[in-house]
Amino acid sequence: MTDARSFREGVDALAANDDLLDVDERVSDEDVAAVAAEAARSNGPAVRFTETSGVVTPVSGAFAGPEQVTQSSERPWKRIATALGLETDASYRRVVERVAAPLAAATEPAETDLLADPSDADCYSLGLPPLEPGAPPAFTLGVLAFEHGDETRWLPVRGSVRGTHRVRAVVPADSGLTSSAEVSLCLGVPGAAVTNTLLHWLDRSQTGSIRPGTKSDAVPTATHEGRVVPATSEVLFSGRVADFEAGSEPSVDGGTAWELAMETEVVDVSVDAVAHRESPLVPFVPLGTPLTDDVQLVGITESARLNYRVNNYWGIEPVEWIRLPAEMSLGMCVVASEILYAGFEWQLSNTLFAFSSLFDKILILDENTSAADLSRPLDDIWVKAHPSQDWVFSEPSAPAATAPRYRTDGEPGSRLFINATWDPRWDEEYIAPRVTYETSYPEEVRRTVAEMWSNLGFDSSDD
Amino acid sequence: MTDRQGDAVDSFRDYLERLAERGVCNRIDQRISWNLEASAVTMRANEQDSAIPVFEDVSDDSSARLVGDPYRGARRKPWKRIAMALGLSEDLTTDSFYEAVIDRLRSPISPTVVDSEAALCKETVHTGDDVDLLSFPWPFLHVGDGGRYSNLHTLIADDRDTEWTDWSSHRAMFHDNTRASVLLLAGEQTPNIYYYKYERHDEPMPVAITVGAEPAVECVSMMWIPTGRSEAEFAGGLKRAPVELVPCETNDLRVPATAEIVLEGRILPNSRLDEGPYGDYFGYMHGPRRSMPVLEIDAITHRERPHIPFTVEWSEVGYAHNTTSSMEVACVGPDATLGLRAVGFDVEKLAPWPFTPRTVYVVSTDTTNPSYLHELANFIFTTWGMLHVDFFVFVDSDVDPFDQRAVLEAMALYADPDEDFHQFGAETMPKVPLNIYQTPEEKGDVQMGTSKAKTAKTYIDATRPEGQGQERGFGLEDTERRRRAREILEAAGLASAAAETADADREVDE
Repeated sequence: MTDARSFREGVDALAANDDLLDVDERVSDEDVAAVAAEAARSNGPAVRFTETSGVVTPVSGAFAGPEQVTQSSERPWKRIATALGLETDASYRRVVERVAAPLAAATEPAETDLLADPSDADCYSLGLPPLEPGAPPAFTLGVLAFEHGDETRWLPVRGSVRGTHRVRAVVPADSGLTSSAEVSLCLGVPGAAVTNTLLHWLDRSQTGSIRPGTKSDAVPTATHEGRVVPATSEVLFSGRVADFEAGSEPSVDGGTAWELAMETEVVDVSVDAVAHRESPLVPFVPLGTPLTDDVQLVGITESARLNYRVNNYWGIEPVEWIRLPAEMSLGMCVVASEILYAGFEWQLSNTLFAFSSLFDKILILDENTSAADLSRPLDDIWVKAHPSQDWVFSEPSAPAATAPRYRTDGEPGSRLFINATWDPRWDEEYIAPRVTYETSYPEEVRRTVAEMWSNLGFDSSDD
Repeated sequence: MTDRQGDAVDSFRDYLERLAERGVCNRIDQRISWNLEASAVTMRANEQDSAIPVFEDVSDDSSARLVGDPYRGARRKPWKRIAMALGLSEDLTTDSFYEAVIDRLRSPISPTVVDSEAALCKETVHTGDDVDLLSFPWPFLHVGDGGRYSNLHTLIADDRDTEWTDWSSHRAMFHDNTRASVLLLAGEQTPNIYYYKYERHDEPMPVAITVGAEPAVECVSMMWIPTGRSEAEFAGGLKRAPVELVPCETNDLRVPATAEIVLEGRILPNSRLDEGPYGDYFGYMHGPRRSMPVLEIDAITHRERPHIPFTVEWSEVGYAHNTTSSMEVACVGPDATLGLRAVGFDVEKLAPWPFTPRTVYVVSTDTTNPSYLHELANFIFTTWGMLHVDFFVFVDSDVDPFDQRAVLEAMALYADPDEDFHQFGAETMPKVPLNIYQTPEEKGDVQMGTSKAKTAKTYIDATRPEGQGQERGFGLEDTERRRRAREILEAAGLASAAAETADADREVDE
């Protein structure tokens, strides 16, 4: 049983962790994206906009994280950990295991009451900010619920307001959604609802599996207009699919990150009613800005999915960890693994390529490389991999990866894996010891330095 | 923004005073042994971005002092303390610092020669039987090292056949009272002069090693100064004043007069001693133990209570900086940028990879067509320092090569495995044996300091396709809205440190 943390509780936890900035100044709708983008570019905290034009309180960066390339103490996954009810300093492994939990075991959500109340608000008066000046009000990181057979299906969704009672939504293609289907569009859902839904559709679109389900005990559910929805949803639109050929949904820089991994379709929803909680909080993502919520969420979720898949593929669990760093915009996969035998690195990389369409580059590291230290991979990639023997390129006949932008015509291309591991055929004496503080100084020296450190007069840096 | 904030310092000692004035010099009176302890303390200081440690008491047998990684820059501004040493503003942006250094390198100033009486490095002179290398507390840096080292100094040698004097940096491992082995890797300027000129004529190469020379000298010794050009003049240009030189006691070389210690001697022909292993700059203890040329010391001169600066190699791997990585940024970066521009390449900036000194560099350029990048890479890989370097990454000029996130993103998104990774043959190029990806057999007999097996050099074209703009989200070009956004964030309490962004972004404010 997990700590079922609502979106609102997650934001409160960010505030308690001093990782939330309240902007109490009145910010125009058209400036929200700019402020959110600057906060992301600055590696700043999440931002809560308490004074905006409408009903909702936008929160940017609630699932995002700071870059780790230059900041050794940072954990880019820390806000996702918070959102999932974990401690803010949770290890990467722990977060990945939590995200991948529905793959390992199906759990049933608790059924409870819906916290949102019916409202007179319409799609415009909610005050959803636009993604850029002149664009329609937008929503991101939502869940679209609709009935499919005898179950309610959840889809990841983003979109925009197209009328007082109309929204346009981008959802996965071939989702089972049909014209005139009754839907509930939920905003401000728990982090676990987002990761569960992403996990399902990432896996379904790339491996064809219908496991895991989108619901788990991490997300209490309630019934809304006959459909099962996250009980703590901050805002819910109810309505029906009005137009299945709605045209395009313009986006900044290609939309949300999950759209990179699957085909999508655009539907218009005729909104009959709006419900929301008191002073509803909704996530806002300044799409296209580096290190945003959607990129972090997809990076973690795809990593969790791949980690589970490869460690349940050969009958053993050779992989220590997998990361799709947001810093690399999902175009590269970094994996630390035991190299079982010569050539295993080829099997591993091509298995990962087979399971995910996002990236075309993989960096393979030795199993003892820490997932919490991005700098080591960024050293090993250059010094440990032989420039001509360990940079392995495929024939240019592989399916095009979807995150890279060097070619967008869908034509086949090459893949690359970089083997920055020790060759298992090498004699032990060939293996260069990694130089660390622990290996460079005997315990006695380290103890002496530790004991006298406070008396040596070191103050903090001048910076 | 002006780069002229004051005068450059004229000596290492003055540099330490300048550090002290700014509160970033930590003079430690407590006894700290030269045997691993000083290195361990320095490593911790590097990790924590703390003040520069000056170890006032390191031995019963010597009054000399150790200084740990004196040129280590601040975490976000590796060039900061070198800027301070050169009299430049410490508040410069990366771009402004680069251009200031380039501007100074374009205006060399000839050195002056002073008498021995006026030279601080001659306060004490030891010659003949009075020479004793081991009377100085050279640090033992890592428990796996082959010996005690001087690893932050300038080696001065004359070309055998011309008037040119080369300044360079080659570490020395001490063996006894008068002998050291010096890491000379063929392909670099001074090693080439030794191996292919002096040694071929069975002649010793006269050298001087200056320990604790003034910062401008140390900077130039790290740079890729063209063969035949006066290094002393470039140092003068850097400090905007002549460098004072003084003749050696036992050979015809001239050395920086304010150096803390000068080791005068000869690198003997056809004579070798073990060098290494050594915990090196890429984070691994590489082997095997090598045979390297022997330095025979003839004289030692020094200031009273001399300072011996040293660097803890490998501590720059990852997030921390040390002298090596800071000098790569502050010295090699601008110098190489100037060098590439000087031969006609349209280079915005060359930046070292921050996690791995000397192995990979990032170059931003306006001209990105494939044949141009090939020519640029081909030219760079033929230069003398390239036996160390395996990779170059090319990015568009609007990508700051110091913004590692942006560089990584460019590599991940714009480098096509089929078209943008270029090797000059599978295994056609030379490589120093300071690597861990070759077996001992591949490294082979390293008498000349090159590997037996050849390797590949690679350049990565991470520039965007022709005509494709930079996609970095909403509002990047809307500078007015961005400025307003920052004001809102700062008014809400966003710490100024958190508000720091890459230089490319910061130009918005300038």
